Amino acid sequence: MAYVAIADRDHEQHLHDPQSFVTKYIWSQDHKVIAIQYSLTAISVGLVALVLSLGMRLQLGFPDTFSFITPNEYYQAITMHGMIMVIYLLTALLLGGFGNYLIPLMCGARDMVFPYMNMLSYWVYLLSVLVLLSSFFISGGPTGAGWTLYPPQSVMPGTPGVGGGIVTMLVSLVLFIVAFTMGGLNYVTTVLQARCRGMTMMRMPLAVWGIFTATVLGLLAFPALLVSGIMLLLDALVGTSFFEPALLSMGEESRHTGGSPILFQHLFWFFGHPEVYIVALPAFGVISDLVAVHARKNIFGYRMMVWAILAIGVISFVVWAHHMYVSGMNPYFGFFFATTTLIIAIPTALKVYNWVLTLWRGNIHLTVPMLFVIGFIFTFINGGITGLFLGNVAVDMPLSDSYFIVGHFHMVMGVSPILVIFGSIYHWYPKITGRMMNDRLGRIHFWCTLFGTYAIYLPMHYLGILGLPRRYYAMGDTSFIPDSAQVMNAGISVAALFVALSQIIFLFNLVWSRKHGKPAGSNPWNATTLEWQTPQTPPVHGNWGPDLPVVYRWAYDYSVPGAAQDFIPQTMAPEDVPKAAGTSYDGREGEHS
Amino acid sequence: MSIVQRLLAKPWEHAGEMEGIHGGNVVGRPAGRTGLYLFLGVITSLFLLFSISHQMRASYPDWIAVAEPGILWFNTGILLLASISLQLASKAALKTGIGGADRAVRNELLAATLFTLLFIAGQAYAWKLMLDAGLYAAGNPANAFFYMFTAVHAAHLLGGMWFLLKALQTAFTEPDDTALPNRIGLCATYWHFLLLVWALLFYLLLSS
Repeated sequence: MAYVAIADRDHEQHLHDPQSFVTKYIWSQDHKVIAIQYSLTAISVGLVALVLSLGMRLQLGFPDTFSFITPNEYYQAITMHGMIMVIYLLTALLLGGFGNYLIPLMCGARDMVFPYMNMLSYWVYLLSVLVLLSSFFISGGPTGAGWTLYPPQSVMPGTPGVGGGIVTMLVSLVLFIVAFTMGGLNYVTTVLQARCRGMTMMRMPLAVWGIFTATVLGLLAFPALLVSGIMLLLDALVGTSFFEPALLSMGEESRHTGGSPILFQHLFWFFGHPEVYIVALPAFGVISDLVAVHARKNIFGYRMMVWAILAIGVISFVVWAHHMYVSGMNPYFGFFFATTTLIIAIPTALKVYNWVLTLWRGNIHLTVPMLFVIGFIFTFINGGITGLFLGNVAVDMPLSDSYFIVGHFHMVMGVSPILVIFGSIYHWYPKITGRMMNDRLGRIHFWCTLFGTYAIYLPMHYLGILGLPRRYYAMGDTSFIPDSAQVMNAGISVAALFVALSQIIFLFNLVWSRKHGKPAGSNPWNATTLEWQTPQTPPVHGNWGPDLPVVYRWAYDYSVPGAAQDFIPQTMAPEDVPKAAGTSYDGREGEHS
Repeated sequence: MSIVQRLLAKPWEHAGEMEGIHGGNVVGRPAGRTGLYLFLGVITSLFLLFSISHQMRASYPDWIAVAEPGILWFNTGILLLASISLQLASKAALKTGIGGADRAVRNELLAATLFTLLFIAGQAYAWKLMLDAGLYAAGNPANAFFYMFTAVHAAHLLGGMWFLLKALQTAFTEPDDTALPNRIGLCATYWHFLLLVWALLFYLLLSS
């Protein structure tokens, strides 16, 4: 059977044309609308998680002051905050939001290859969010088992939300995985098969590489969460003993026999560690593009950046048990996983060096996205180095249950990707809406967020080294913890309130600029990649008008010697490149690299 | 060009070079087939992890091996027939030229549908036999794995049934649809794969 390449099909631009308001904005199959739906939903549910964290901080900073925060509610807040932030905000926003918006535009496609399935992906995601949030309104409330949902306590009496709470959490996760799989199949297939003419894999922007690799990781790792979720659900509902051991609970023998909680931990972290990179790789990719655009310089070591992304993706599957050093596993396992943890730092460090070397002697424009880029690099180095530190078994053991861990993972997995998300929104907002976000408000937002988050998380490292245990509702009279620790805890809580309030500036800017922002034009940052070369801004349905773009060069032709402008779009043929006066540049040479 | 050669390319060189370079189609197959292969990768990961969990859990002392109902052998044969029917339907559809479904294609699709439904009914009957024998899921992890494996596998088949029924409907209502042979081919691949998965699960159930 003759097969016509997607990019060469006639009338491709008329596929899935919206016919009405409903098909344009609600049951839309347009990747851009779906991206916005994903993003707004993720940000909304993320705000819920932010409020939950404030509840926790009020309790920790000012114990016995707020009677509305009981121990049960504290644990429920911890659990929902963690799960929402990792899964329903970061994963959904970086892949469902950025992936949907950027992949077709950056690859020169009209849409995802399976638009109907893409639409379903969003609606199932929304359903998973609603199921999750419904647990706030059921008897017993949401589960308070901690975001890792470790058995046996997650399904044992005494844990908050042990009835409906844990069930809604697990059902919601299953729905999320179904939604992610539908979206993920789209992202990978679109990258593989719907790129426009001339867009080789190695001409793709690193943002696409990051999202593509993270999606492959997700497709292979989320099944581990699905397996553990299904088995835990059966333990909770049917009384099976996959994970639940025989034990006495509140003076009564449980109905379970001999299950293995460690098996759950292995499954959970076989998903959980790649999940770190499912969030990190898109952030790495996006930051690489932002740093090149705003430093007006080609990314340093493009090929190494691609290889590093792939290497991180592979190695991320063999480091999971460094989350389990304190589980009592065989010490030789600990040695193995400590080694792999150190090894994965190599490609990760390589990326950091390359970002810094891209900045070096670049024409750095301190735009708002660039501020967030620099903030990210600092923060990621902080969080990454403490990660190396904790990768060693002997160091991890005493620190594992302390605030050091909370400080570490919030730096590397919380603040870092959030800074990338903010930077990206400031960067791509002009393409999405046609208007610039307010620059002054953006700068205020950046400095408040950066200093505020450091005021929260740096002291946590110190508290952890003091021995302050995490997960505790109240410290009580603990002789080894000095009174000054409580003062610091109160300070952290004030900083958390400050950071949360400063996000209002961002939200205001997001809404206000939609109508009142300066008109952006089609390419306000003078960027080279395809999304900035669309005939209309914002891009209309089908993205490209009658003809798909043709790509002649890689994504990083900035400050090319001999060229009249400091950027050459990917769509510009060599013969069309304006030459600087008095040069003989022919648009083909690669000596600038 | 091999993957290694692609990854070794130096994209900053050869700006403007278009000869022999990506022409808008990197993989010479329809997107649906690529999507299916990726999905099979996801399922592989899923069942591999289920299998590893089974092996780990089976090593614990409370595990009591269970004698699975003999009807599972019969069910396996039925699933094999469903797979063969789809293979024949796919071959026949390709033979008819530009799409289109002739009588043979329709018959084979119908047979595959019926065999699949019979397989699922057979699995449900195996559940009944287990329950009648007092082998409940909560009784022992070996029982629990039996119920879980059969249910998750059947759920995948039922998901596939949506696409098979759509192909069947098209074969009867729009037999000249040029996309039909491809769709039937995708169903055949999916069914073969689920047959393999069932063989693995059945082996695990029998061996412990």
